[in-house]
Amino acid sequence: MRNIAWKLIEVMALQLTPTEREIVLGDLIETRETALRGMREISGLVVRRQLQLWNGWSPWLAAPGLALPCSFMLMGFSVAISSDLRNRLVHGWQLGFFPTEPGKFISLLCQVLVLLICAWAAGFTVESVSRRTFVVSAICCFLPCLFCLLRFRQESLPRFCLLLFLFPAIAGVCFSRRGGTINRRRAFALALAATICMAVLAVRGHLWVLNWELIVPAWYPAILPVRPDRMAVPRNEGIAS
Amino acid sequence: MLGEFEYLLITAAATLGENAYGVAMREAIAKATGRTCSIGALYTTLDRLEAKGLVKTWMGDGTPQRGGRSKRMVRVTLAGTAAARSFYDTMIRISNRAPWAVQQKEGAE
Repeated sequence: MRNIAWKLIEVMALQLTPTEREIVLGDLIETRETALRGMREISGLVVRRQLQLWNGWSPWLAAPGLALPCSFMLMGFSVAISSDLRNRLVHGWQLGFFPTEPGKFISLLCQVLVLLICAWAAGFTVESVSRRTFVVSAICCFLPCLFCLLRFRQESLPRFCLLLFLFPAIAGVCFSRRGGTINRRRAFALALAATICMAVLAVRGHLWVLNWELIVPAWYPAILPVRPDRMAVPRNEGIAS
Repeated sequence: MLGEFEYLLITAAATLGENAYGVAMREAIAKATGRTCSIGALYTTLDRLEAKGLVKTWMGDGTPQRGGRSKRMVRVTLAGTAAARSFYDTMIRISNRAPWAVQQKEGAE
């Protein structure tokens, strides 16, 4: 029983930095704390450390500032693209797969580009700006997805077409996690492309005004140098050894 | 000016001297105040004190009692000593005419 409890304590301690984990687990062994008290001590420290992270602005930008609204808006793009593609596939032969009106094709192309660039940039920026609060950012992204999945009533489309944006977003997150960086020139080119596509959609009346927020994660790495917060040395890792 | 808990930590560390580390400081505080000091409160406050330059911490050696895991050793800096002395003097000055202090003095006399 004690072994199971101790394993649980070690799992909880994974939320701490390796240095602090070593110190705190050593303290618990030395004082021979009961399993329950040990869990209380560790969870207390973990909660304090998590709360400390929210003293800065970056978690607020990443979670409620970007992940939550971008998730809603990108779901809109996902549905619009899925619906358009479905119509083309179903009625493709009658209408001609490449429509006679190039304007419609351009709108679809712009929507696809906006979805790809903005979802990738949102994933990259959210992960880079505040890595240690990524779980909260992920929850802020998935809650709107869950809400919309439960309310989705379009019979001609499968529910999961709402989640089309998750593929480029997850690719952006993985890129940042692997330590990938994007130089300013490339970031600028991507942001500019997304902005032009959104402007085209706006001119054609296919853009909701709030969708302009999607260019924030695209422009963020172009304007401000993204310093992944894994590079920052947390205070408790500054302990001299 | 220091907070009450910050003062307790600095005082405990200064009293323990070379042996000041997490467990020993928690025990000293519990003994003096009659209240247990949580690990979370201890280490987050130590971080704050270190950021203010009032203490210095480093990784000590592991011992068999700790399963070979390292300790976080603490040393009070000169700035920490000055801050603790200032806090102590302020407490003494403000408590000078407090009823409980006067009663204590009379009792001593």
